[in-house]
Amino acid sequence: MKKLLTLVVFLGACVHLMAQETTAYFLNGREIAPASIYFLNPTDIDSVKVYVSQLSGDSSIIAYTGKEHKILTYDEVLEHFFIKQSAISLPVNTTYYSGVEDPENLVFSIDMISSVQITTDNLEEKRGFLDTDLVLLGTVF
Amino acid sequence: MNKILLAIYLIFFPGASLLAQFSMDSLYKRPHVTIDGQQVDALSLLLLDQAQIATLEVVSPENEVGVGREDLEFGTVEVTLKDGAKLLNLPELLKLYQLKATVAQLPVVVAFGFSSDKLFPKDQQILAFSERKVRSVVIERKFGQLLPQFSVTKRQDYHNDSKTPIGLQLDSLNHLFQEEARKRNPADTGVTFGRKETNLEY
Repeated sequence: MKKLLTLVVFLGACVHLMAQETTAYFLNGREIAPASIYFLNPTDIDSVKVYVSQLSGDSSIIAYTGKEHKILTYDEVLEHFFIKQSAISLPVNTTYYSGVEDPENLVFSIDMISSVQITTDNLEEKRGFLDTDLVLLGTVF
Repeated sequence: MNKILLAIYLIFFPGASLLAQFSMDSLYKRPHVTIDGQQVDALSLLLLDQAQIATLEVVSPENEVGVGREDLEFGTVEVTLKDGAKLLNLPELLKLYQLKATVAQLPVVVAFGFSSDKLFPKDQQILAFSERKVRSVVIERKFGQLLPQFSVTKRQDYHNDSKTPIGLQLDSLNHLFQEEARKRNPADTGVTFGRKETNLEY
């Protein structure tokens, strides 16, 4: 029951606060990329605190996971999918979020990412042929 | 434990997958393919850019002079490239897409159309690729799935491929692979449009 309540609060807070001025996300004391929320399994979240500034409207969501939950950093995801660390500079899209601005701050629940695609699709006009994008594909429930 | 199993898999799987899929079953009807005199895997035809091809000759099985080569049974395709045209091999493709060399040990799946249009090469070590015809590479490793999958997806140039004689020959050869793929992967059957008797499939 406690888990379910935490889950509802976490998702509700995320949806509500995405409409605010600015929302910062933290996991276990570290700021994470907003796109990470699509790759975090809510059942990995033990607790959530939400702060909203009365003056600016800016908000922060601070979540904590239990020690038993393995959360991967972006580096670890590249390693897990046999991708060289040099690919860290590629532009990143995800199934849910295009143009991730701060991929180095992405975090993932291991069961929420199923495959990684490195693509040259439809990029000829934009940036010259054979520039590549890295697409992180999530698990769809 | 998982790492040990993965290492064992990486060492033994390529040979095992070939044995599993290519005991020359009744679906295997791929031609023997050479590019500039070098034998390549037949699936390389899917990933060749016609702009790089100078000549393409199809020798039908009845005109074959070779003896004792099982894949000659399905004809030979001899391709010569234009001056300066360069193809990539698997290690070069991995380097281009910033993947670790370890991936060369995974079984390669060539994807070239609908979700059912996927085939394993007979010998991935002699696959050849035109850089422009590779749209993307994908490493799939679902949670709980020990064995990762590596696939190379063909770029479809529906609007750019000119219907030159070479382009039409390539289309025709690619149709062979499409037929094989759809028989091997019957779960995702294609949708047939138009009148039934035209047998026009997209």
